Amino acid sequence: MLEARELTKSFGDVRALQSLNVRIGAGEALCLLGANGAGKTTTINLFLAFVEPTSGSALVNGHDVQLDPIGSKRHLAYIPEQVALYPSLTGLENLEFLAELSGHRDHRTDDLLGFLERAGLDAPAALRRVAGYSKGMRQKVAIAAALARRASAFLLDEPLSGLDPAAANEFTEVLADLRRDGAAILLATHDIFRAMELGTTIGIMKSGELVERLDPGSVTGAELEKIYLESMRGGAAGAGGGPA
Amino acid sequence: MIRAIARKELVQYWRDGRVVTVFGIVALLGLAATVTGWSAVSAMERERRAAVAMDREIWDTQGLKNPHTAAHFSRYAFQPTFNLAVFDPGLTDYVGNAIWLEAHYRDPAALRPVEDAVEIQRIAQLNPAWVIQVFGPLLIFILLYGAVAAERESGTLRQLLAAGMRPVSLLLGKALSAFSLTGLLVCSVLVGSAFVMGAEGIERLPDTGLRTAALAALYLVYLAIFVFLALGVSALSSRSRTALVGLMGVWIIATVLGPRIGPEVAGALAPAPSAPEFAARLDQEGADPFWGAGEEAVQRRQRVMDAALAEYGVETVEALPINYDGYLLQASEEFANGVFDTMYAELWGGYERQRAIARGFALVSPTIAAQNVSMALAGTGIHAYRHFADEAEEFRREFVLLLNQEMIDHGGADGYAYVSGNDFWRQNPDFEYPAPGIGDAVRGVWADVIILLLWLAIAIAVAALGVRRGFLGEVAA
Amino acid sequence: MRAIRKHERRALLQDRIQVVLLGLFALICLFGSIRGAQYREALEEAAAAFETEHLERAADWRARVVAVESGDVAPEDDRFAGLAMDVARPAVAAPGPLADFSHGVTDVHPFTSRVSLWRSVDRLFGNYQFQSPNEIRAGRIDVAFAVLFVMPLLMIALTFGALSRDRDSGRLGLLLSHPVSVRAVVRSKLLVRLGAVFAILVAALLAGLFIGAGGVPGGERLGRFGFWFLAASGYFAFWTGAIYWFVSLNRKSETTAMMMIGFWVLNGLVGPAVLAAAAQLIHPAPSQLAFLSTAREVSNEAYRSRADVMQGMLLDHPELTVENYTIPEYIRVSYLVNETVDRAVEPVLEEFEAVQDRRQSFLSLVQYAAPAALAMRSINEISGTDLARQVRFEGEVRDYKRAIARHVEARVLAGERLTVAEVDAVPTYTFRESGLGAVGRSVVFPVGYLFGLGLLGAALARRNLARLQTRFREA
Repeated sequence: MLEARELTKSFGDVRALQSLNVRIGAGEALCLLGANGAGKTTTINLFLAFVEPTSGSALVNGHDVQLDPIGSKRHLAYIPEQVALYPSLTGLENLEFLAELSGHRDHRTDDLLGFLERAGLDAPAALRRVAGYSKGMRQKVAIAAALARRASAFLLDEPLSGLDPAAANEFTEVLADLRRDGAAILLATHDIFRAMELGTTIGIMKSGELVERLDPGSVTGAELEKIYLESMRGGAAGAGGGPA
Repeated sequence: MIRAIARKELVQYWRDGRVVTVFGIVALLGLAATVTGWSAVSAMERERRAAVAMDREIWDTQGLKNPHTAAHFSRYAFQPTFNLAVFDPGLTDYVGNAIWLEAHYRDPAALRPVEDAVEIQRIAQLNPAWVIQVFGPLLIFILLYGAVAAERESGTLRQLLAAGMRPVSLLLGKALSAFSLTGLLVCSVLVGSAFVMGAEGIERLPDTGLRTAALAALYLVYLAIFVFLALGVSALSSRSRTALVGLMGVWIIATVLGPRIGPEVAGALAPAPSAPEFAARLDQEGADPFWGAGEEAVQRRQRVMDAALAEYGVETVEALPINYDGYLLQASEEFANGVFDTMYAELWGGYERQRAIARGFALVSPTIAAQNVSMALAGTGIHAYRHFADEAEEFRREFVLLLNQEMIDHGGADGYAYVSGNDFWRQNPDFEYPAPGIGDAVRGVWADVIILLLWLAIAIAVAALGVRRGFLGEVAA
Repeated sequence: MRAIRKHERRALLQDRIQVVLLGLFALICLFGSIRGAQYREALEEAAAAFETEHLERAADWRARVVAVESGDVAPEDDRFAGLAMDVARPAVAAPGPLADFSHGVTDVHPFTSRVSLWRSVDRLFGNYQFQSPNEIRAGRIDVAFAVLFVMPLLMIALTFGALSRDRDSGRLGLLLSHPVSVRAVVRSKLLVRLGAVFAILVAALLAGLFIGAGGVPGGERLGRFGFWFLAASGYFAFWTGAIYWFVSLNRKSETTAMMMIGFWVLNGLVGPAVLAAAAQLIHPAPSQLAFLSTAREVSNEAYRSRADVMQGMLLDHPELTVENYTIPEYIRVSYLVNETVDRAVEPVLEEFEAVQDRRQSFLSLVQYAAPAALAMRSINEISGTDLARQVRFEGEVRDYKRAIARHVEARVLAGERLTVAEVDAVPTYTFRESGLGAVGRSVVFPVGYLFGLGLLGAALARRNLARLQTRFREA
């Protein structure tokens, strides 16, 4: 479960995030839309305890990330746009290392290959060095790492940009599976249609504020795009006062 | 977690051609250095033993000779080259290994191997200690410059932190991997050296076991300094390129420039007396005030005569029951010894002053301090050399006294015409050099040990700062 | 291209670290020059003082002979005036013409000798081993060190990012989308950066030339300096070629820097250390201790059987059987003992020289594998501080002793005084530096080789860069 309570972050005079209140339970996915600089990545960084909130708190599975940065990450998976792996190690070795890092030393090779398989990476590919991997393949390793450590909360920072449509589709399906299995997902993206596919809630951010909160079942894609573009245009920066 | 990181690092090193190449070259150098060290030390020892035997033989068979003439011919003290010189020859090539124990003069140690060496040896001398001192840090820097900076550049650092890794675990894991690799190098070089040190015909230094253990500890501390420095610099650098350039600068200053600049500046600030000038002074001040034609010398000889006459209660030299020439010679010897004590104290003091100034440069180059400690432990430092020279001098004085006494006691009125024979020469003792133990060896380098520990503390502090600053900088980015 | 050069010049001057590094190099050169000048002056003073003192002693000694010969002093009042055995002369090799630029081996070898018949040839160079062993071990900071070791480091620091920094930041593609040749770009960058290094090198060498001379340098010094300058330029050219080539490989900055440093280490540290060890392992010197023992044994033996030695001498020279021999016997015994020792150790001394010869020829061949070693040997030879010069000096001093001995031998053995004319005819010794022509001939090939390597590096680099023009993304 991911929860933000009055989560606020300023960098000097700049409000990067303004009183965010969200709660993403098991089996739920919040997809955040917004222009560059709207506060999506700051939100994710706050959940990762990479930055200290100016006020408010972020909780992962009930752990306050500031008070318990290590414990809060025990069942947390983070997948950035560019998944960085060690190029001289194979996919399997990278996975093994990442799993051990989070304290899971008990996985056998077969288990690890199973996670990779579930993430969409077959065994021959898993035994090759990562140096030759495509972006999509790297993300699959990251997903497998999340599976290996039995992550229940996912933070995804624009993982879909730069993927070809087939790869993006495959990736979204894996995430949807995870959600159905009970994962809580926070996805920052520019891709309105994938957000509709995956999200249980769609949030639109602007100038550090969550200005819209929509149920994807209640709008069509075209309507969502319209709302998104309108919210981008309307109001001066920082002045928009949407309901939190 | 630390173990997982260390293991991952080792796999990465293994697959990185550059690391394998550098490690291979350094290991090969260590091996070559051990072999050449062994060859040099065993040759020196072989030659020394032959010379010692020959010296005795020559002494015993010199036939009829006045004992004081024999004291002029005298004998030699040959400095043994001990087993640990295989590992760190230190000053072995730069000090003479034979001291002439002649009457009336305290000779410097002659026959310095460096005089026979080809000139390019002066650039760098291949030996195991040098390989570790210079290439150990280089290897560490190549292994670790990207430890944090490269992880940050590639984005893996962010993910590792997101996965709940503690920054300090990353640092310790990396330290462990680099340390195990370079530690392996140190240990194999030491074990290799120890192996050949045990070879037949090489003299064993007292406390060899303890000294070897201390050397291992020294070099592990030395390498740890560079490991933590590298980690700190890597964590504090925004890019791995910056870290590499910075660390290369540290390496060059620490291992190449520092050890040369230190003594050079020391030489400029506390100039040593020029060798010909010192030799001339030694010659004159030891002899002229006693044997010269000057008023002072005449009076001094008169006082000696008065003392002899008073001692034996006689009126004239002819009435003395002893050989007065021998008595006078011994008096001159005692006078000269005082002069030698003063002058050599001045010379050694000069070396010490220079060393103290050069040691100041250990604050920019831990290599200087490590070299000092290493040489001391290997018994090849300046203090070992001085210990030998002082022991030889003590023996010289006793030996010359023995010869003069023979003339005094048995020469009667024969003066210089008195001769002794082979029977007497055969009774004369040999110079047996009692090499100092480890306690004596480290007494002169405690300051260096403190400097090294200070360096270790600084390096750890830099690494700790790196953890705090470097990682915070990362996550806020 | 002028635009690039202008931009590069500005960039170089604005980069504080690079300016500091350039300044540091200039400082080390200057320090080396000043210390070198002091060092050479001290050696020269010591040599001159030694020579003056011993010439004065010889003059005093001659005055005694004159006094006896002119009848001012009765012969029996100065029994030892003109004693042939007492002839002693200084033999001095003042420091080489450019010893301030490169100390070479001058700090561990004797450069003065009191040549006396009382000393056998193994004792001609007495007690000179007083320098601090720590200092000798550390080596000196002279101009040669600055040029051979510090200069390449500076060159590396300034250039390792010449191409790779553009590459790392992705600017290279942008640059190459313009109608420029990558070769010209790299060349301009190197020209500006290495040009600055060369300018400092030239200035430092010229400063050293004047500082060391303490004013306007003389002809000999100037001539040698010309060669020194060529050798230093050759070494600079070699490094320029190498750097050009490393840059043209178009690797990441770190990799480029590491390769360059690795090359510096191999060329400057590992190469010379391995070559020196190999030369000494393949051509081991005869044991100094064994030499010492031989000399002592022979001396002991000759002394013990002095009666036989004397008998042998008289059999050879019946004319020397003098009546009323007034000079103590031990004097001619000493002469004969020393003579015997001299003859006995001659083969060993020849062996020492032969080994040094063999080592030098071995190194003359293999030095091409380590340009730093090659440059150092050439530079020492030009400076007049090389080992071969020292070996020559020591050999000449021994020959000089033999010449004096030949001159006075008959008088020593007959126990007669030298006449003033004979004293004046005692040979004198002057050390002659090898001529400029000889130095030139011996360094032309090594120095040419350095330039050749530089050109080779540049040629290979041009080829690499030409390929890079169209295929830089594949690198």
